[in-house]
Amino acid sequence: MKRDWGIWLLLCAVVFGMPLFIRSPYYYSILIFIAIYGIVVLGLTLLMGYAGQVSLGHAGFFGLGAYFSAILTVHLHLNPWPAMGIALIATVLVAFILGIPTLRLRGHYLAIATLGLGVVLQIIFKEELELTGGPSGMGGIPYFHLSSITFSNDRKYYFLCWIFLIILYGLSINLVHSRIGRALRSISQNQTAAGSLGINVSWFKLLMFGLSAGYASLAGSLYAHYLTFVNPSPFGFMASVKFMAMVVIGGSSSLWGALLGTALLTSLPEFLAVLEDYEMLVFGAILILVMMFAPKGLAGIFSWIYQTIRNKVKKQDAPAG
Amino acid sequence: MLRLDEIAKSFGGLKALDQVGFQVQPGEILGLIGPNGAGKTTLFNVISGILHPDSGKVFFREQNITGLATHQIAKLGLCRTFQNPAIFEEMTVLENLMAGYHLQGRSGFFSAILKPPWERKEERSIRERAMEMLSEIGLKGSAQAGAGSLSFGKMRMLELGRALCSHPELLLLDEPAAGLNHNETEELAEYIGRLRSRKITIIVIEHDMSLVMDLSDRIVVLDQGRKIAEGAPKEIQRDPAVLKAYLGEEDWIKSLRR
Amino acid sequence: MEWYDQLLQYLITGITTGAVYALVALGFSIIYNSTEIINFAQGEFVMLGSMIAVSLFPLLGVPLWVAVILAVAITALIGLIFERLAIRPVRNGSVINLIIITIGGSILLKGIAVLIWGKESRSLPAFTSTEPIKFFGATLSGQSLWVMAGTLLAVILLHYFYEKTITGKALRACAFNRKAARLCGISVERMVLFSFGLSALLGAFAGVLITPITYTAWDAGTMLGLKGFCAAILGGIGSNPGAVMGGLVIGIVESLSAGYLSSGYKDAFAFLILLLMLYLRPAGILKKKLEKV
Ligand SMILES: Nc1ncnc2c1ncn2[C@@H]1O[C@H](COP(=O)(O)OP(=O)(O)OP(=O)(O)O)[C@@H](O)[C@H]1O
Ligand SMILES: [Mg+2]
Repeated sequence: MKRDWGIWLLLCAVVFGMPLFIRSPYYYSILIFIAIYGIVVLGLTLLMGYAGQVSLGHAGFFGLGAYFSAILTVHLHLNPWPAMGIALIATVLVAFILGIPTLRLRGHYLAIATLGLGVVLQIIFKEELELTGGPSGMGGIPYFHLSSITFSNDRKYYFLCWIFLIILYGLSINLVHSRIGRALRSISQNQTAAGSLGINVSWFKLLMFGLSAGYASLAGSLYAHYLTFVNPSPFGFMASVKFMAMVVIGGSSSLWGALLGTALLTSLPEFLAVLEDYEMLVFGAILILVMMFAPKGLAGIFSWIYQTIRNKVKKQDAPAG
Repeated sequence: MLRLDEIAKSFGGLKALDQVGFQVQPGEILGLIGPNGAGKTTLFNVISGILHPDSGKVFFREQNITGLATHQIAKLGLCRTFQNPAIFEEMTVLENLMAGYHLQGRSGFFSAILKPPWERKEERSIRERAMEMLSEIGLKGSAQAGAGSLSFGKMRMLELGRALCSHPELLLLDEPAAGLNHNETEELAEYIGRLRSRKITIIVIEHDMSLVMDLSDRIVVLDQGRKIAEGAPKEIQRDPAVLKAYLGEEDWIKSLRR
Repeated sequence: MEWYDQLLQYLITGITTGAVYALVALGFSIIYNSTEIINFAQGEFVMLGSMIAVSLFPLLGVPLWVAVILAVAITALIGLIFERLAIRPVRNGSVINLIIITIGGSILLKGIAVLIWGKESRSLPAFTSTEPIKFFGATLSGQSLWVMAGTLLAVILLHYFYEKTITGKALRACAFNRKAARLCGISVERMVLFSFGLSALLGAFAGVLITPITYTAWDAGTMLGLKGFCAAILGGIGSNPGAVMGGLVIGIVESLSAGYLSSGYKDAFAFLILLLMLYLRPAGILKKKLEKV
């Protein structure tokens, strides 16, 4: 708990310190995407790493957030803030309804069903031409305003996104270290035993499904009002796979690991841009290698290093003391 | 306390439980015995709501609990342990017990994410009570150890302790002594004996005959899904149907006669 | 024009694509039976088969049938290598790990395809220059016939293989009960390896059959894979006759819905069927996976 808040504080310091060193809007935009994806991935970590339920469809909820925001502001001329809130509520509602039959499934079947949901959602984005603009998308989505500030440049948007992320990260830390967090972890390890202790397994799974969809929706709204344009392609199966990969590569049962995974996988394509054609090859290889050699992800590697160093230090201290 | 009415459950063509019925009085310790595959664990699964019976009813404190979900039944005050200790291996020993206090806690989603003072207070009190339980089951030294690293015997104790955390009125123990060495078995027997004074009603499945005979007030014997005998330990030991069920298992008969 | 004028044509189209889905679904079934893994890279085998055939045929100037056989054989070999390198080291990993590994494999194979063949789409000529057959106002192209006949042949051979050969029987034994199979002296590892090879072979065969009709590209396998997967689930995963039925049903439903309802939502129907199956019969499908308490 203390360590989690320590990392949280460190993150705050980095977030507010970073602008001292960064000038280029290019780096800001990468950082903005890290924050947006990071929010999705935080939610997904709660669902996958803590409650132990796989989802291969979260890009669909990310898309729902983005499209609800876009439709409410463009077609109904709503202010972006309430639009974001309505999008959140609507997406969570959709997730609850879809989650009831879906979360009864386990293992591979759950993965397949969520995959199916994600694919169907993306097809809806493509086909509801009048609402969504179809495959070519819809533009003209307004920026966020806060009294006289318009969040139209990358620097301002950077702060907005990262403040959202920091708050959600903090709430997630609280959640993980609570009665509910414990219940979630017990569900992920043994559903039957959890149930026999009075833990309402299906309700908690549904709650986490809804919560993670809510995170994805907020991220989707942030995405839509940043680019002021949405089209269906970033909300497909590949995107869901990437979100899942971020969770797992970071280390699925650690919130900060998830953020690390997000940062890595979001910036990787930028570094690999020179080797454009190799991007997929490298991504696939990373997924396989990490799963083979570090199934607990980066967080696992870091805590292993931390433990080893601590043990060394202890050993050195022992003879002296 | 608990009444079973004509419980039947089949898996495919196999009748795992066939019209099983009996009652358990408040405060009593009931032994449930029978040869391997008799349907004992299946009966526990039916009582605790993990399986639903094909026919028949389960009454707990006069309430029909047939068809309720496991967690609803647990909430009414019925908790169980498993034949293979079902502890949460990737959590610490202390966290396992704290998870056992789930029903004692009140904090919901919003207090979990916002952590108001009363939520912190509740967490502290749960932690303290878990520590007490820890010393009660003799695992005080391993509070921060990973539960998966415990010895088998300690896992069993941990699972029992965790079940007790939910303050059950009826506790179902599925072979609590299996895999324990002699000393551990004695400690366990003594501990279960102490639970009697706390007015917890217990049904215990056990193959260790001397243990069941010593502990139980009454015994129910299952064989091939059917109840073949019910009565005080002394009567059971002489019951011809029971002896017949265990026929061919010489050691058992010896241990029954002991 | 009345609605039934087109019906026959839609059915022909549906059965043709359905046959391909059936082959892919068989691949899923075979691997699932021996490992309980769902191989997300199955669609990439289809893509590899067709891509390899495409590049062997005009490049090396070999006759088409040689290119087809070589392509199928090479893809089967890739299936074997994939199992050795990516699956075997993590055989007992968690479900999430296995899902990610096979997804990683699929991305890796796509990445390799992009490197070798670039991003344009390619095609093969039809196997024979048979005149399209016309009947009742519908056309059945020569290649469609090839697809149907090829699938039928594959299904018959597979059946023969399972029923009559020792390896086939060993595979069935593994599917039925792995521990018992091992006790009977069957090397489960070999069977797992073999099932990856076999399902890659079937996938590649599906790929070469359909390429003259639909073209192929580095990403053509993904949707085919997912549809094959819907078919496998629909037929009750692990069942070979079910996989074939599932494939045909999905193919036909898709073609009818594209014809009569909306071509855009055609892909959605396969997935809606998949979801309905999973929701309405979870116990039936999950029978094998229920946690034993
Ligand atoms: N989930 C299940 N599916 C199918 N068959 C089952 C299932 N659970 C139990 N059985 C079968 O039901 C019968 C009774 O099993 P059960 O586990 O209740 O026996 P038991 O009396 O607890 O035996 P043991 O002393 O070995 O623990 C056995 O034949 C068993 O194989
Ligand atoms: Mg048992």
